[in-house]
Amino acid sequence: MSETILEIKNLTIHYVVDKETVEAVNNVNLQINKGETLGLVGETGAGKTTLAKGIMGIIPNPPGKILNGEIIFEGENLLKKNKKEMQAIRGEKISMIFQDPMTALNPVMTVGDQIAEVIRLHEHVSPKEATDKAKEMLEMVGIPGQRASEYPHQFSGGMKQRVVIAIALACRPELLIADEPTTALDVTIQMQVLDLMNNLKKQLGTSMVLITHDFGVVAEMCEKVAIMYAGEVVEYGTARDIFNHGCHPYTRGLFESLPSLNEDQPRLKPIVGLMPDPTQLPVGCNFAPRCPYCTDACKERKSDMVNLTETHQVKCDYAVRKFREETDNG
Amino acid sequence: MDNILEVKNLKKYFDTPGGKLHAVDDVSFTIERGKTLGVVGESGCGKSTMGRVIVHLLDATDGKIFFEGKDITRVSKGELKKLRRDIQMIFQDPYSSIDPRMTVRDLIGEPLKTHKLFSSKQEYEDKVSHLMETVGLAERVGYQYPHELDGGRRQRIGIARALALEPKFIVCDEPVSALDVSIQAQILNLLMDLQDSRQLTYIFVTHDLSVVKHISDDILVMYLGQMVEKCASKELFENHKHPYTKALLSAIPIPMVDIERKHEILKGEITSPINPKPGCRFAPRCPLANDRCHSENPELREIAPQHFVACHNI
Amino acid sequence: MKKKSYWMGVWERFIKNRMAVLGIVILTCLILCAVFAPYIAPYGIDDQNSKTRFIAPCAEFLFGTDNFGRDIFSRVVYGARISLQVGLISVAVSCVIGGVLGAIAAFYGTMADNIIMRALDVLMAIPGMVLAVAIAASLGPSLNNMMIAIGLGHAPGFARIVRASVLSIKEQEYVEASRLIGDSDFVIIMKHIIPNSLAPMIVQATLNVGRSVISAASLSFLGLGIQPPTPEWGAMLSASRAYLRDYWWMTAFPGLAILLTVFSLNLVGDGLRDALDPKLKH
Repeated sequence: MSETILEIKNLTIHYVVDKETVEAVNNVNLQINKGETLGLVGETGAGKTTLAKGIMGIIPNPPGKILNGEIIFEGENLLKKNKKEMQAIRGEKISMIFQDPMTALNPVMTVGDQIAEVIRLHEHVSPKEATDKAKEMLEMVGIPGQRASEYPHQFSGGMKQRVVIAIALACRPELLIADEPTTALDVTIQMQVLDLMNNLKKQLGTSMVLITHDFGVVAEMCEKVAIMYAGEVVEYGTARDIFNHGCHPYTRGLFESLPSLNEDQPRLKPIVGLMPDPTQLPVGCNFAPRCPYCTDACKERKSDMVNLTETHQVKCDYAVRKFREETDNG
Repeated sequence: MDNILEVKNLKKYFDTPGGKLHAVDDVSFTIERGKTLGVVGESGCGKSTMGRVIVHLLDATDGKIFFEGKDITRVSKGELKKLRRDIQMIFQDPYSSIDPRMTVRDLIGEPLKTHKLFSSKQEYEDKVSHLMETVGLAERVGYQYPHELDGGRRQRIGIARALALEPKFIVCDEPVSALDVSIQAQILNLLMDLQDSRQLTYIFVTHDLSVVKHISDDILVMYLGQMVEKCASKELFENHKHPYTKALLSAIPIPMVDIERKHEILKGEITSPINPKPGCRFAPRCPLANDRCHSENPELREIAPQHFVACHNI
Repeated sequence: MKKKSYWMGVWERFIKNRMAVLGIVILTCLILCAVFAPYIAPYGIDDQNSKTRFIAPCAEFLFGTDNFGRDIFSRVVYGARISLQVGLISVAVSCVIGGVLGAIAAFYGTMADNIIMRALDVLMAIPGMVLAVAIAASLGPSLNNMMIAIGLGHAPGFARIVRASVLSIKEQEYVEASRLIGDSDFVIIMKHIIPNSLAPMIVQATLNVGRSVISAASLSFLGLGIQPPTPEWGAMLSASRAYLRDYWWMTAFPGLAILLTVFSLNLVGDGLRDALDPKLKH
C-alpha cells in the first residue's frame, strides 16, 4: 500500500535578486505515498509555493535557482529531465490548482474548450472525443455537462474552482498539487469543494500535496502534515502526530494563536515577532529569535531533523528532549 | 442600558444593470457602549456595505441610524466632519488601505492634521509617537514606507490612524482576514486591549466564525442582505436556531483530528440579491424549506430573551 | 533615525540615478545656452552674407552656414530660447488643462465624465495639427498664441491618460480611508490622487516636448507662429528641407538640438517617475 510516489531529497531553491539571495527553500526532505494527501502548512513567505513550483518544474530562472537536491517522482529524478520531458509530465502526471479561481481561467474560451485543450495536449484523441471527455469531467466535479459551452464569467467562484479542478484532473494525474485551493472561497462553498476533492481522491487514487495555512482544512483532508517555516520543514508527521503530539515550538505557537471554537480563551497567545528576512536568515535556528525556549546553542547552529517515532520527525533539540521525557513518563 | 448605536430598518440598495441590488435589506440592531457586535456572513451578504453605511462612506437608502441618541442618518458636511472623530473604521486590506507614497509617521499624523488636533509642532510629533507606541510600532519604522513593512505592521498603521481621532466607535471590516494566524492573534489582542483601555465599541465584520466568537459579545448573522439570526455570542454557538447558522457553523473546518463530525453540506451557491422575490432568501439552499418559505418573507422574531431569528420553521 | 521629508527622499533617489543626472546636465547646458546666447553665439541671428553661403562646418563656422550665409551655430544657440520655451510651456499648458479635465472627469464620474470626455473626443477626432492651426489662426499669430494652440491641441491626450490613472487610483481603499478621516475632496485629490497618478503623465509630458517643437515649426511654416528671421529649431528644420540632399548640416544641427532636448527630458522624466515612487529602492 505505502508505495512512494514522490520523494524530495535535500531540495534547496534560492532566488538571486540584485545580489541578494532569497533562501526560499532550504534543504527540504519530504515523502508522499500513493493515494496520500500531504498538507504543507506555513505562513506567508515560508516557501510553500516555491516548493510546489519546484516540483512542477516551473521556477522562473532567473531569478530562481535549484541549487541542490533531487525530486524523485515514480523512481525518476525530475530535475534531470529536459524541458520537453517535463512538459509531457506536467498536466498528465502532475498537475496543479492555483489559489485564485478568478484568474486561473481564460475568459475568452468556453470552459469545455479549456478542459478539452488539456486532454488533447496529452492524449491522442479526436476533438469530438476530447469534448465528450470534457463534459464527463464537468459532471464529475458536479457541473451539468451542458454548461461546457459557457464562459468563465457565467460561473460563480465556487463553480470556477470546480472547473479548475476538472482541468487539473482531466488527464487523471498521479499527483495533484493544490495551492490554497479554497482560500478565496466562502466557508459553505469551501466545504463543498473540499468534499468534492476528498471524493475524487478516493475515486481516482490521486496523491495530493495540499498547500494551506488553515489547520482546519488540513484536519479535514490530510494524512500527512509538514510544517514549514522560513524555507525549512521544521516538523513532519501524520496528521495525528502533528495535531495531538506536535512539539516544535513553532507548531505549538501556531496552534495556540488560533482562536478556538470549542473553548473560551480570554486572550490569544500569538507568536512574538516576525518571520526573519529570507535574505538574512539567522546562523542558528531560523525560529530562535521568536522562540520562548531558545538557548545559546540554538542561536549558534541549526538542529538536525530527528526521528521521534517511525512517522514523526522534528527539527528542534528542545522538542526532542521534551518529547522523550513525556514518553518516558508514560 | 447605554446604547451607543442604534440602527433601525437600515436599507442600502444599489442600481445595477440587472436591477436593484438589495445589499442591505431591513437590518435593525443596537449596540451597548464598550461592547462588540460581530457581523458574520459570506461574500455578498452585505456585511461590509452595512459597515460602510454606518461610517457614512455610503448613504443609506432608507432607515435610521442613531449615534448616542442623535439621528445621524443624514448629516451636513460640517456635522459629518465632527462625526468622523467619533466613528472610525479599520479596513480589511492593509496593502491597499494606506497611501504607498507616505511614510508611517505621515500616515498616522494625517488625521491629526485634517482635524488640527495639535497646537505646536512638538505636540504633533509627540502625539504621533504616542500613537505608534500604543499600537506597538517601533519608533524606528516611523520614516519607512508601507511597502517596507509586513501586513501586521501595516494593519497597525491602519489602527493608529483610526485611533488618532480618539473615536468612541470603530467599524472593523475584516481587519485580520488578510493576515497570517500568528500575526492575526497579535492584532486581535491589540484590538481587545484597546477596547478595554479606551472603552471602545466595535462592530466587527468578518467571515471567520472562530475570530468572531473570540472577540464578540453579540453576533449578527446575515445572508444576502438580511438578518437571519442575532443573539449573544455564547448563545449562538451553543443554541443556534436558524438553518443557515447551523450550516455555517458545521462548514468550518476544525483544526482537530480524531473527532467525528458530520458536515452539513449546503447545496447550491450564493446568488446576489438583485430584485429579490418575496420569500426567504435562504430558501433555495435550505434543507427545511417549504412552500411558505418560498413565498413569504420571514419576520425577525424574538424566540428567547435577546435571541432573534428570522425563520418560519422555528 | 533622521527625519526625511518625502521630497528629500525623492531627491535622494533621483540623484542616485545616473542617467537622470546625465539628463539634468544636458538640459542645464541647453538652458544655459539659451540664457547666455549673446555671449556664446559668434555671429548675429540674421547676419546675411552672400559670400559665405553653404559653407560646410569648419573652424570659422562650427555648424556651417545656410542659404543666406548665416552662421548655423549662432542660430541654433539663439533658437534654444524660442524652442525650449515653446516646448516646455506648451507641454505645461496641455498638462494643466488636460490633467485638470481628466482628473475632474474621473473623480466626479458619470455626468462630468461624459461631458468632458465626449468634448475631448471631438477635439481628438480633429487632427492635432489642423486644430492647432485653427486655434492659432483665430487667436492671431504670436509666440504666446502658438504655445496656447499647441498646448490645447495636445491636451486631450493628457486628459485620457490622467483620467485612466485617476480612475484606478480612486478605487484604491486608501482614498476611501482618507475620506473617512474627514479629508475634503480637494485634499484627497491633491494629496493622494495626483501624486499617485503622476507617473504616466510625466512620461507623456517628456515625450510631448519634442512633438511640440515640431508642431511649432509647422505652425511657423504656415506663418502662424514665429516669424522669420527669428531662429527656431523647427523652423530651421523645415526651411532646410530643400537643401537636404546637398547641404546636410543645415538639417542635422537643428535636428540634433531637438533630439538632445527630447533625450535629456526623457531621461529626467524617467528618473523623476522612478524617484517619485518609494517602492523602487535602487
